[in-house]
Amino acid sequence: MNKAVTILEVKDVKKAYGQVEVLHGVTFDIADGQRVALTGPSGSGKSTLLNCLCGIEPIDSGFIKVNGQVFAQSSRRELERVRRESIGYVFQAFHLLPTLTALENIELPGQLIAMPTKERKERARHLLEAVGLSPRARHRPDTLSGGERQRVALARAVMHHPRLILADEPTGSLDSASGKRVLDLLETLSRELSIALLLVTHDLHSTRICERSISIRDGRITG
Amino acid sequence: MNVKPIFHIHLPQAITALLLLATLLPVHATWIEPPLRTEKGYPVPQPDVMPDIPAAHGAHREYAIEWWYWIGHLESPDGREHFGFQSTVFRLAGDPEKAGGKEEGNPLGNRQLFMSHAALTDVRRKTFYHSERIYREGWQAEAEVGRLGLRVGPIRATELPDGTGFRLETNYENDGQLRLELRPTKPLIRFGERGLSRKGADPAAVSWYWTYTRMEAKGALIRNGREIPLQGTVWMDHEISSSQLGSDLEGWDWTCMKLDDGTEVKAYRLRRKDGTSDPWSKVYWIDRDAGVRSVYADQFSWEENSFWTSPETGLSYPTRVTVRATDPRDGRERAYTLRPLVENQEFIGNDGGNPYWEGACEVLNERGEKIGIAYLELAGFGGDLSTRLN
Amino acid sequence: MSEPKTALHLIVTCTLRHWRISWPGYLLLLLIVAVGVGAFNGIRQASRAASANFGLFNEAVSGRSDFLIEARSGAMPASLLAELTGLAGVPDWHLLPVIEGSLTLIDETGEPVQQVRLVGLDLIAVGNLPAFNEQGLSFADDDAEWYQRIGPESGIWITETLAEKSQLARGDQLAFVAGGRRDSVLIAGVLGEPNQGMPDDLIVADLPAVQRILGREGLLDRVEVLLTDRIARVDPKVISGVEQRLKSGLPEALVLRPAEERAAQRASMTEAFRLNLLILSLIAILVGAYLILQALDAAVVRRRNETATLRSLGVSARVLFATSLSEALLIGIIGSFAGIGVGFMLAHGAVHLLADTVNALYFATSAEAIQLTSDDWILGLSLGIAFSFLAGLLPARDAMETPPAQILARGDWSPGFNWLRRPAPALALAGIGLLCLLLPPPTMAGGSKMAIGGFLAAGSWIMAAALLSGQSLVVLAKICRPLGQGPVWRIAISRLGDGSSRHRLAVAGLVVAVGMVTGMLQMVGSFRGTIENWFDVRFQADLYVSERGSSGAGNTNGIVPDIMARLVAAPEVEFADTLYLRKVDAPVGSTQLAGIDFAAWQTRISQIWLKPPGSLQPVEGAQPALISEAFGRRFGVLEGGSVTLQTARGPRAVSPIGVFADYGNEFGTAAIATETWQEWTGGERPINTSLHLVEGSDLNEVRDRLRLEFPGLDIRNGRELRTLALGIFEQTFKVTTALNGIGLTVALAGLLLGLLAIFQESARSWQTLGYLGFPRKQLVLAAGIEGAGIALAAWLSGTLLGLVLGWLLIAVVNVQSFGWTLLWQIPFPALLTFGAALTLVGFVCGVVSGSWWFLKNQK
Repeated sequence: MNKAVTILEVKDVKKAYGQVEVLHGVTFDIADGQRVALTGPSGSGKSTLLNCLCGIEPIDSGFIKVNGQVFAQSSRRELERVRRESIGYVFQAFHLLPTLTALENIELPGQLIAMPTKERKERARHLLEAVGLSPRARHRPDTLSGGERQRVALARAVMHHPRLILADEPTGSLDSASGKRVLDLLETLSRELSIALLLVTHDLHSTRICERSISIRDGRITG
Repeated sequence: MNVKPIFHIHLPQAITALLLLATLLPVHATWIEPPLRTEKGYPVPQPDVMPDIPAAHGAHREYAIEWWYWIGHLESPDGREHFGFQSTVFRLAGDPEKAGGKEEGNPLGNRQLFMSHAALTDVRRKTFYHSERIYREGWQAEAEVGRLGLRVGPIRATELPDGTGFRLETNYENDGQLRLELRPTKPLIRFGERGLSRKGADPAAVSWYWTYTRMEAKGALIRNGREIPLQGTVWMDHEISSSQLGSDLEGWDWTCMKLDDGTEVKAYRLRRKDGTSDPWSKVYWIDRDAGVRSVYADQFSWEENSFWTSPETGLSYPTRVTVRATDPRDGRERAYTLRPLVENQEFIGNDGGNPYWEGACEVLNERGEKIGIAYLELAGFGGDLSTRLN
Repeated sequence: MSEPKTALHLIVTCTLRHWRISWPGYLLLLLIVAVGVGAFNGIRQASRAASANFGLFNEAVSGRSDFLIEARSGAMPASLLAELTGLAGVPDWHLLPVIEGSLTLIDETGEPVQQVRLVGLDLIAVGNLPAFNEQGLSFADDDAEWYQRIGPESGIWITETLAEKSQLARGDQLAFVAGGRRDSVLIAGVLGEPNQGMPDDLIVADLPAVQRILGREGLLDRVEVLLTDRIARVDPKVISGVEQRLKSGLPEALVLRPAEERAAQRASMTEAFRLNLLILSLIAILVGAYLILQALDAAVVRRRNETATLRSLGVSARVLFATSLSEALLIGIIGSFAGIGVGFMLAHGAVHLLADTVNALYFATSAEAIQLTSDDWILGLSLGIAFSFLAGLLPARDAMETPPAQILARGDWSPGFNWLRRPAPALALAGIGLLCLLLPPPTMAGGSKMAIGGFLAAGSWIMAAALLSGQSLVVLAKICRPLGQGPVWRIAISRLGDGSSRHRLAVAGLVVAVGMVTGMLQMVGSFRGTIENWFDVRFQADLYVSERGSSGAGNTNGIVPDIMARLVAAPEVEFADTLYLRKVDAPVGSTQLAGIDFAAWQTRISQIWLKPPGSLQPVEGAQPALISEAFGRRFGVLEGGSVTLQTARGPRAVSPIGVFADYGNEFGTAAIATETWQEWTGGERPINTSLHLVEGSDLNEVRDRLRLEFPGLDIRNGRELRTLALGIFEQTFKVTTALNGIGLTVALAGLLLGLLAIFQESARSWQTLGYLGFPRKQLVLAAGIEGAGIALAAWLSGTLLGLVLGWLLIAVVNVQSFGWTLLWQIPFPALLTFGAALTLVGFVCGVVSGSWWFLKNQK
C-alpha cells in the first residue's frame, strides 16, 4: 500500500440518460488501500456512478482513471480486462453463479486471469477460510444463507488481486447480524490485502469501516 | 464188347476236361438274363445288340441313364504345354411313358434332364478347373437322336462333316474354349459279355458300353486370348443303361490307361458298402488290333498306395493306386501304378453334393518307369452314390 | 485464461450442470431434434426401400442379377430363347428366363385376402446358381420324381413366411384370381427355412406352370443374366467386356440392359413423388428448429442473471456467444445421433405405407429391407446440426447482448430483435419469391419436372410472412382493445399491443406452421374436389369392370380376351368402352399408350376436354391421338405436334387432335385406336371396360348377375368405383397428413415454450402486479388471453400465407411437377375450424404456462 498512489481518479464526470442528467460533474479520488464510503439518498446517482466507474456505462464528459487506465480512450475489450484484473465487485444481490460451488465461485476470477492452478486453488481455499466458510466449500449458493452468500461474494471479489473493490449496498439484503459480519470482513480484507474500497451505501452505520466519506446528492458531490 | 476198358479210357479225359473247365470258367460265368424293363418302366439294354454306327452315337431317349464321356491328355507341339481334360454329358430320362418322344419347339421341356461336367487340368501350372451345369431338355440342352449331336451347357459335340469322327467344343470361364477334332484309330469296342457290361448282381444292372479307346485328337485351347495348338489321344465312352449301381454298392474306382506300346487297359473296382470289391469288378486289356480280354475281381487287386485329402470337402481319395491283374493271355501278373499329375483334381458340383476325384495320371511299371498315361476316377467317397443314380 | 478456454470452462461448469439440474427440459429438446432428423431420414429411407428395389422379385431365390435381356417393349416371346442358344453355352454367366405376375389369393367365399407376386423360373436351371445353393434352397421333393416337379401342370412353392401367416402347407390347394380368371393350384412345397426372411408375398413355380396360371403361354418377361465370377463383377472393365459379348449375341428383337438401369428407371419414376415427400418432411425439421430456438431462448432468459454476473466479472461477450452457441450445437449433435435411430424406426413404420402407395400409383414393388447408408448418416447429422446451429444463433446473440448485472438489476430488459420490427427484409424476401417464380422447372431423370422455382418462392414467402407477422399482433390488439374494459383484458391486450420482440417471435414460429398446414389443406382439398368433379364428368357409364384384386398400376395382368368377349356380349350391355394400356418408352422417361374406341371417345364418351377433339391438327404421317394434359405438358405438344414412342414394332409417332384431363397418372397418356394399339404392341388384353347398359336395365341386378358369372372380375357401379378411387386418393395423402400433424404439434409445443419465455422475461411486471393485489386467477386468465391472442394473430397471418402457398402449390408446383390443372378450392369450413381450435389451444397454452410460472416462482 502506497498512500501516495491514486488508485481511482474521477474528474468532472457528467452523465445523462436522454434528457435527464444524472451526474453533474463528479470529482473525487481514492488512494491506494484507502476505504471510502459513498453515501446518498435513492436516485442520487450512486448506482450510475458505480457503473461508470467499472466501465459498464460510458460517460458523456469528464475523466475516469482506474489503476492507471484511462477509460475514455479504452475499447470495450480493454474495459473488460480492467474489470477482470483490477476491480472487484460486491453486489447487493450477491450474484453468485448457481451451478458453481462456493469454492468454485471464488476461484472463477482467478481462472479468468489465468492464475496458475496450484496458486489459484490455494488462494481460493485460503480466502474461503478467511471468510469463515471452509466447511461450505462444496455447497451451492441455493443451500447457503444470505450472509453466507455475501461472504462468498466477498472472497470472490478479492480473489484476483484487484486494486479496487466496488461494493454496492453489500448489506442491503442482509439482517443486521450478518450485515455486521460482512462489513467487518470487508474491512479486514481491504486492510490486510491492501485493496482500496469504495463502499456505496445509504446506511450511515456502514460507513464506520471507512476512513473517509463522500456524499452525493442529485448527481453532485456534496461532502 | 468189353465195358470196363471203355471206362478206363474215358474217365481220365473226363476229369481233365472237368478240371480244365474249372480253371477256365470264372465263378460267375452264370449268365443273368436282363429283364426287358426295369421296375420303373424303362427299357433295359438287351444282349447281342450291335451298335449301328453312326446312329448309335445319338441319344437313346427311352433308356433311363446315358452318358458321353471324353477324357484325354493333350500336348502342344513344342511339348511345353500339357493338359488333361474331361468333358461329359449326362442324360436322365423323365417319365418312362413320355421320354421317347421330343416336344418340338418347347424351350423348357420336362422329358429329359441333362448335366454337363467339364474339367481342365493344366499339368504345367498345376491348376484344375471344373464346372457343372444342369439343364432340362430345351433351349439350353439337347441331344440328337440318330447321330451324335450334343448341346448341353458349355459342351457341344457333333459329327465331323466327313463322318470320320467328331468335333468336341468345351467352353470354360473367361472366354476359354477347347476345340478338338477326334478321329478314332481303333474300331468301337463293345464291352461286356454278349455286348452287355454288368455292374452288379441285380439283373437290370447292365449297360451298353461302347468305347473308342484311342482317338487321335487335334485342336486348340483358347485361353486369355491366346490360342494354344494341341494334340493328343482321347478316350471316349458312351454308356447306356436304365439302372447303374446295385444298391449295395457305395461307389467305384475306375481307370483307363493308354500305354506306350499301343495297347489300352481299363479297370474298375465297384466298391461295396462294406468296403470289399464287388465280384463284377473288371479289368480289360485292349490290344493293338482291338482284341479284348478281361478278368473279374478275383483275378485282380486294387491297392491304394496313398491318399489325398481335399482341403475343401475334407474327403480322402486314394489317388495313388496299383492295379495288379493276371493277364489271361499268358497268366502273368501285370502291375500298373497310377500317379496323378496334379494332386487336386477333385470335381465338386454346384450344391457341393457328391464330389468325386477324376484326373490325369501317368502309369508306371513296377520299376517305376513311365509306361503310359491314364485317367483315374474315384467316385462315391462322399456318400451313397447308388441312391443318387437309381 | 484464453477465450476458448474460458468458454470451455463455462460450458463444463455452467451449461452442463444446468443440463443435469433441468434434465427433463433438455431431454425434450434432444427429443425434438431427434424427431425432426428422424422424420426426414425416415421418409428418405422408407421411400428408398419402397420404390428403389430392382423390382426383380425372383432375386430372393436367384440372387442379384447383373443384366436383363428384354424385348424392346412388352413381353418377350419364349420362342426367342432359341436364338440365345449361342449365349447359353458360355460358362461366364447364367441365363435365367423369368415370367412374373400378380395373383390375388381369395378365401372360401371368394373375397380377396392378399395380393402376391407369382414368379416363374426354370426350377431345374436355378440349381446352377450360386445364390440359390448358398441359401440352401431346394425344389426337391422326396415323394416325386424330378419330372413331376416341373412342367405346366406342376404346383407352386410358397415361402415359410406365407405358409405360417396363412396356415398353408404342402398339399393344400391355393385358390386365387388372376387375369380375371378364378382358379386354384397345388402347393408343391414350402421354400426356405423358417425365419430365413424371405418375403411373404413371393410365390415361385416352374416357368411353364406360371405361364399357364397367368394365361401367358409362350411368353416371358425377361431373361436375367447372372455373372458367374462374382469377384470380377465389380471390375468395370470386365463388366463392359461381358456386356459387349452379350450384346453381340442378341437377336434384333431383344435388348440388353444393366440391372441397375432398371432400378434407376424405377427410382426416376417415383422421383417427383419422393421429392415432394422429402420436402414435406423438412417441415418437421424446420418447425423443430423453431422449437429449439424457443427453448434455447427461454434458457437464456432463465439464466439472464448468471450471464449478467459473468459480464460484470469481465467475461467477454464473445465468450458468452460461443458458450451459448455451443449449447445449441451440443443439442444438435446428440439429438441428431438419436435422430438417426429414430429415423430408422420410423422408416420401418412408414415403408409399408409408402410401398402400398407406390404399388397403387406406379409399379409393383415390395418393401425392401430398410438400409442405413453412410449418406443417411451424413445427411441426417448435417441437417440436425445445421438447424440446431441456426436455431441457436438468435439466443446466442441474445446472451451476448446481456448487460452486466449492474444494468440488469434495474428492471425488465429484453434484447432488441430490432430486425423483427423492420419491414425491409421481409419485403425483400417477398420480392425474391416473386422472381423465383420465373425460374423454369428442370427436367429430372424420369421425365418429370422439379418445380424448383415454386419451392424457392414458397420458402421465401414463408420467411417473409414470419417476419411481418409480428405486425399483425399489434393490429389485432388495436382492434380488440375496445372489446373489453376489465383489468385482465387491459393487461393482456396492452402486452399484445406492445409488440415486444419476444411476442413477435412467438407469432412468427406459429405463422410458419399454420401457413404450411393451411396451404396443404387447400392443395389436398382442391385435389379431392378436382377429382370428384372429374369423376362426375368422366365416369358416366353404368358398370365398371377390371381385373379382380388388381389394386394398382403395378399389378395388372390384363383380362383374358375370351372373358372380355363373353362379358361384352351380355344381353344387357349396349356399349362397352374398353381400355387397353401399355407402358412405352418416350423421348424422356416412359409414358402410357392406350387403345380405345377412337370414334366413341370423340362422340359419346364424356371427358373434361382442355382441347376438344378436332381442335388440333394432326401432323402428317403420325397416328392421330387423344392425349392427356400431363402428356401434353411433358412433351410440349399441348398445342399440337408429334411425339415418337418406342413400341414392340419399333418407333411410332403419335400426334394429338384433342387434350383431356386425366388425374390417373402423371406420366401422361396417349390414346389411339384399339386396332392400331394392338398392331403396335402385339398385345391383346384390355385392362378394364366401362359398360353402358340397355335402357331400363336394373343396374345392381345386372351387376350382381355378372359378378356371379365372372368371379375373376371386379364389377362396380359408379358410386362404388368412386369410393374405391377416393380411397386410393386418401391413401396417397396419408403420409402428407401425418407430416402435417407432426409439424403442427411441434409448433404448438413451441408456442408453449415461447409463452413460458415471455412470462419469464416479464417477471418483474408480474411480481409488481402481484404486489398490487391482483388475484393469481386473474393473472393466469390474462396469460390465457395473451396466448389466445398470439394464436389468433398467427392464424390470421398464417391463413393469409397459407392461401398464397395454396395457390402456389396448385397453380405452379402441381402443374410443373405433375402436369395437371387443379380446381382451386378453399375449404372455408375446415379453415375456420382450424382457427377456432388454434385459438383455443393458444388460450390453454397461455393458462398452462402462466400457472406453471407462478408455481415455480412464487412459493
